[in-house]
Amino acid sequence: MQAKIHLYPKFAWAWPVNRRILYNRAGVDLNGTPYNPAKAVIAWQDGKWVGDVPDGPAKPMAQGGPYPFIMQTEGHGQLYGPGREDGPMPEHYEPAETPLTKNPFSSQMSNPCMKTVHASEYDVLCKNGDPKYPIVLTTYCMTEHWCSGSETRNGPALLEAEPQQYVELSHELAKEKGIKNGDFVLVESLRGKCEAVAMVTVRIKPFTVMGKTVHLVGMPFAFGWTKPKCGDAVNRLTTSVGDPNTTIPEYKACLVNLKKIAKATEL
Amino acid sequence: MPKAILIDTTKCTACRGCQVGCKEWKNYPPVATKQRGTHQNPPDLGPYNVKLVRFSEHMESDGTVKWYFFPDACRHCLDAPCKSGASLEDSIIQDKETGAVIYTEKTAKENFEAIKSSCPYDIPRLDPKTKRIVKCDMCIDRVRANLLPMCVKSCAMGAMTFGERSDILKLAATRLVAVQKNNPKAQLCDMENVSIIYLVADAPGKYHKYAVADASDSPGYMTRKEMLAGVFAPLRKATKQLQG
Repeated sequence: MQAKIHLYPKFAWAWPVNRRILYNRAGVDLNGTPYNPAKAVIAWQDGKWVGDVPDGPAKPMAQGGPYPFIMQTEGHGQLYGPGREDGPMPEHYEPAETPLTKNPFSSQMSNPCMKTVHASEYDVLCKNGDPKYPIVLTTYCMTEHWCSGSETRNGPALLEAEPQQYVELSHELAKEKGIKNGDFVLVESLRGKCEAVAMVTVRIKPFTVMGKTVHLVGMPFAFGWTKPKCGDAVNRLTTSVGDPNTTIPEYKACLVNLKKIAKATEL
Repeated sequence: MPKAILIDTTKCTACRGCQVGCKEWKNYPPVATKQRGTHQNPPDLGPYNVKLVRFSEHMESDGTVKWYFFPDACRHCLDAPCKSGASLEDSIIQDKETGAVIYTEKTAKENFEAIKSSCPYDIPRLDPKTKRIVKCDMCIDRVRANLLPMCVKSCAMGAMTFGERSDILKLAATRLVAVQKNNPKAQLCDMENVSIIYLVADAPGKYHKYAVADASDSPGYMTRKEMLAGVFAPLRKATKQLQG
């Protein structure tokens, strides 16, 4: 039944209690019958639930079970609720740093409720479309290292497989900057600098945004100074901006520039 | 009964669990590596890396990107050219029970270059400390203890299946039909001749130069008989010179 919606409960494990879809009883009627039997998440059959691990676990509502959204006070789904800082409808905002000078979808450029930090001289943001930092940097984790890599970089076989900080860039940007695959590169933002090895790849392509070419580069956040010669933390480049409700940091986008360097000290 | 492994590269995500798991089980020492502009690291198979995930990426003419992963290791040939090419009778042996081709400590007395060049898949490597020639042994210690080979055990994607050769051939044929639906060039690499069977979705040469015994696109490739006769050695040497 779950395979129909590409849920494989025996593949790894999902929080909580291996429940794959939260509030899964919202997919059934009062008697526990799926609204869409062809794509059922859960169904009440012969006095028990089949399919996903039920929320609660509670019976169908006709048998006294609560509303499906069990973690909400009223048990209902919500577009906007008490305590939220923004909303109620989704809106496209540009990141705190953007290569654009105008948000094509809204008169508001970036989220007016975003949480910013003003603790030091590093807590600064580029102006919109800053010509000194025209390249978008995104950051991500990798399979071989866990989160910041502070533990896994001590695993010799893992460090062997992913030894050093790199920056993935398109062939187009590499040509523009005179960078070859494997060259040392200095990536700079308004806040700091970080060395990396160039990984020139077809997997990244330049974007055309409002008629302008915008280059994207990507770096992992699994490296840091605690392991010498593996490169420093990409956090030296990223912004200290958090989302309005949870202050989860905006590490997916900021502005940088980069250049080839002959010698690296961090790598 | 001979064993086989199907490696379905269409399910591989290059997590490199097999590469790391293999190394951990064998207790091989770490190799100092550098980032060189690719995720493939170490750059090649070595005495302490008998399993290596190879990465290759291609920009197709229609603008789509293909990123291929190839968890490379010994194919455990049914009729192994390296075994035929060995000078000592018991330096390279074939386990009757599983079909695993195993290099013993006596490989230290073999001519490494001769053994290496006899392999159409470029697998054998020399351990500089012990002088032994090393490669994957199908985890014969684990298999004899009713455990899966480490690469198969560590494959979270289910890309590798270990079992009786007859069952694996059936599974391979089924998977080939499924993959061919969207990938007409899909094929099973040298299935008739090897115990480690790779399913690839595209031309084998786009995965790895030595994915199949005749990965070169040039016409008039070697037959297996010619290969066994050692015709490969000079050809391989010539290729190497061309590559510098």
